[in-house]
Amino acid sequence: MGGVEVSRVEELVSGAGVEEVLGFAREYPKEIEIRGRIERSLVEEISRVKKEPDWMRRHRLRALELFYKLPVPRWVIGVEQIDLEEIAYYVKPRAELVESWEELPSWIRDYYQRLGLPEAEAKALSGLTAVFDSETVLRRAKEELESKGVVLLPMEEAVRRYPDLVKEYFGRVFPAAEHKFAALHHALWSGGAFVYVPPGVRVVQPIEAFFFVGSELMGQFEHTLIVVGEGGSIQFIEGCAAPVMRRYSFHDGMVEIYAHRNARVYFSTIQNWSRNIVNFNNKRAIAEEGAYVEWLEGSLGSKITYTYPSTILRGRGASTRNLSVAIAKGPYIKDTGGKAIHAAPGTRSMIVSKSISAEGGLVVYRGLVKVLRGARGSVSHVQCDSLVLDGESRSYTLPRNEVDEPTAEVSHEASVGRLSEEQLFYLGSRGLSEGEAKALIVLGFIQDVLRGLPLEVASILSRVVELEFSELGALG
Amino acid sequence: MAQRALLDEVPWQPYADSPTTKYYTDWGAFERLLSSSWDVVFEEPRGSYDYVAGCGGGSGGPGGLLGERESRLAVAHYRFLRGVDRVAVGGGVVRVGFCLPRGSGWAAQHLVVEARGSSGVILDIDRRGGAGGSVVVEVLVEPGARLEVFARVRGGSAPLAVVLRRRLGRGSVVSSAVAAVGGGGVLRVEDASLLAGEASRFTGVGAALATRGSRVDYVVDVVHAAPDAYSRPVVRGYALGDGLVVARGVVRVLASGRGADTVFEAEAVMLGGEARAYAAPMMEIETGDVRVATHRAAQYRVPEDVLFYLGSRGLSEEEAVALVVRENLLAAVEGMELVGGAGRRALLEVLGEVLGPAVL
Repeated sequence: MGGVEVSRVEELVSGAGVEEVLGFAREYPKEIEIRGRIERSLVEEISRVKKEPDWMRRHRLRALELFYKLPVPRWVIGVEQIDLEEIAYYVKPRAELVESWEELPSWIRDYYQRLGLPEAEAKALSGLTAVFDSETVLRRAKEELESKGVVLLPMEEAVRRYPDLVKEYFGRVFPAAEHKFAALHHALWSGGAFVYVPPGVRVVQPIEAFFFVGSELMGQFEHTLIVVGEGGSIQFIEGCAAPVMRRYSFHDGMVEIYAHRNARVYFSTIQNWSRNIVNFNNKRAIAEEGAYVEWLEGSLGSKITYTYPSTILRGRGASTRNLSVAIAKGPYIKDTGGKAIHAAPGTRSMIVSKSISAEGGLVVYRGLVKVLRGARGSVSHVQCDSLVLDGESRSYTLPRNEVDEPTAEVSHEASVGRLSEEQLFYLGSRGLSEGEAKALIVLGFIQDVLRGLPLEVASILSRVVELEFSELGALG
Repeated sequence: MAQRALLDEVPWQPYADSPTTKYYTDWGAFERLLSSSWDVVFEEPRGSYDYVAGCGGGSGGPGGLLGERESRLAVAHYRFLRGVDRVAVGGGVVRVGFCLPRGSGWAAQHLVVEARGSSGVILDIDRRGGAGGSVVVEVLVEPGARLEVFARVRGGSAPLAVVLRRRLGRGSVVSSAVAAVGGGGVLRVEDASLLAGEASRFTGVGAALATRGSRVDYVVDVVHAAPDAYSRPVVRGYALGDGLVVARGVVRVLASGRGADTVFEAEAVMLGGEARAYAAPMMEIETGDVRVATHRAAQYRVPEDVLFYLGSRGLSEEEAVALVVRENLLAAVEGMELVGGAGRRALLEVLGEVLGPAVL
């Protein structure tokens, strides 16, 4: 395979970060690159290149109009660093969609091998789509998926082959009008995955979508749409990576999930972008009666990340759990959180957020629990804890609980703390180095979240934490 | 003219309060008040007070804790203000009543309290039947001083903003209890404390009652700007009938506030069939060098088991609810030696007006 040694996922993290594994960005052949002002002609060109049906072209143009009208959110920290006119909004690498690793061009295959994707796919996944810059370059689906009637396609292909199904849900869970960057996404989306699970079908092994940004000053706008029929279930994993770049790149992705009655959806993201990615994530699910949606968010990399996975509990007895770990080590910002909207009786939500800041980092928890009138007997609990590892780092906790239903109960707890000198001294006296002691304390801090994760995801996250914090020097 | 121009430039607040509720305070009501013609007369309050403030006179200057361009609210306040009252307290308890402004238009009142030694201040702000507008009370606490503050605020049908600003000097200790009752309109209370001196201490309970038709937004703001400061702000909201109560605020620990010890609680109880309660206790910690920094929030109705127990003792549901709210609120003045007695009486009086004689 191109003479490159295959790495396991663990070796990725044991390289002390994605930057060391992937190295610097390299030039590669591009078939199409569209950049410039965000105008109608740019959006029309993207639609033309993709050979889209007219309804999708019109959807994009309506979103573009909204983008012009909506203001830049003033509460967002750091957004002034993005110059939208320097970004390339569509980059198609010179590669066609293939269904085997061997068919990929060597320069793409090299990156994926370093990331350990072929092995992960062979061992643990029932399907995988890989997006490189703006296009899906690889789609693999095991027989299990096909035999059960599960649809796993690149989003563009789904738009062409299943227009009625896609139209029913696309942009309905997370509309373009929500905010300016959602509108931008809907106007420029490219790449991503469409998953449809028929009623009653349980997909045993997870499906993964992997997103890779290969160039600087590039915008990635992948769209993932997951629809799970009544009684169905699926676990979906999202991975993200990019090599080191001199300038920044911009990610404005979207995930829409529709969980029908009694469906179960588990959505995990381990985001370890390199430090020059500005990362917007728009994630939302609608849960019908008795459905369950679980979000797991591991925000480890990037220069700035904004992500607030949300669930609208539309059906009676629907429930959601939202677990997140955010680490800002260095002069980076992790602005994360979660939202739960209770719109039906007997709904339940739990949000657990653990964030760690060190070496001048800033972590922000931004959350909302909204209980609408009529959501009788709904219950919600939020726990958000921060660990600030030194005097230069910061933590903001900004929750909002809005209850319009008198029979609901909503509670929230939060704490901000720092490493205890006594704990460090005790562990030092047991033979641990200062770095090892800090890593152990941090792992203990995020135990609540680790306990709720699939074993393989928990072990990756633990390993990343161990490596990130075992390098820290002494405080003060 | 300059202030009129400023009114057009400065927003009520820089951005929305949440993705689903643009503003917790109904600024539209204040905007309409700004547009109405000004015709206000000030009436002496009933009751016995050591000092009467906000009667349209007052020759003192502001205390410097509310910036003129801070917000549209501040601009409006200074535009319509006719005079600043100042009172110094240095031992004993001072009861301050505010004149009742009648008529139409924005009525602004402003009091500066300078506290030294060990003293108490009782503030009585009653705008029932009166004009809307703003009341600003600035409390400057000298280093080493100990101050107890009790404030009773009764809103009317016209929108009212009450802004309490405290500045604590080195080693000073402030205990505060504020009871704010909506009167059918919009009531916004800003309860802010700046811990500017090393080892300053603030404990405060804000109780907000949103009666039928009222919207009460109680906003706490505590800033740890000096080392080793201590704060325990608590906001308790009660929503009756179809009232909306918001219990929220921000505790900020600046980089200079190392060694901070702060616990922020926001609680809201829904007592009516259409009541609404919002809670948003926020923290912004600019340094990892904190001793304690936690916050918690809860929204609920009076637990069924409590109602059952009290019902088994012969109380109706209204009586049981009144009892629970009363005991909860009276706890706010526990431990206040100087103002606790008067505070308790004032609280019972206002609870009796809102919840009926059962509470007495």
